[in-house]
Amino acid sequence: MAKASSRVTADVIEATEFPHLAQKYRVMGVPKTVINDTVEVMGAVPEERFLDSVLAAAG
Amino acid sequence: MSLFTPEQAEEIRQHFEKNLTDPVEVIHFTQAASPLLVPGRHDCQYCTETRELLEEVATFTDKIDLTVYDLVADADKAKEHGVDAVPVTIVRSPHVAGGMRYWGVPSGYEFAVIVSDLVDASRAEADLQPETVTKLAELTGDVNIKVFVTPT
Repeated sequence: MAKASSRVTADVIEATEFPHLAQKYRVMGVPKTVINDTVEVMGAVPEERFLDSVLAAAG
Repeated sequence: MSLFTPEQAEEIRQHFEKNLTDPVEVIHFTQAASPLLVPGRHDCQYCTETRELLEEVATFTDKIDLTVYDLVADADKAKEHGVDAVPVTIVRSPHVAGGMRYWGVPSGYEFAVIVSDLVDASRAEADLQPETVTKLAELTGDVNIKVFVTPT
């Protein structure tokens, strides 16, 4: 998605190396995705569902 | 000393040969180890490993252009790229419209993630469904996606 849109930035974060971020975003399991610091997605989900989350976060 | 066995190195070399199309820019931020204990500063546990890993990966193909910056010594570059932590790796190419960054050392299973990021960035085609691309094109605000992972 970050490839397709100039609006999207994607950060893959190693949770154990950045514990303050893992704590801030309440990461209890991986993969956990946080979009615009508000919408959370647990685990791997189908593309359509993930897109819905992205659109919801974008407002 | 190599981080890869000769067989692994050859496998990665062939994977790049087959899958990398256009050049990819890799901008890596690291922090030099200091003999001084600075209050408030944390030593970067995996900075050396990450830098060595990327440097070796860059030797497997001439399509990867790796630039390494120091978070402190190259503070202007860190600011320019919005980087305030280490190790952070940015993958860029004309095919990447947005931003792709990797925080931490891409070891274990995560090594495949950075390799696939490099391949994605090097190819014009996106792996998304056409409807997704259409919807993304309609975004009017910025979207940041953080994906938390662990090495195993």
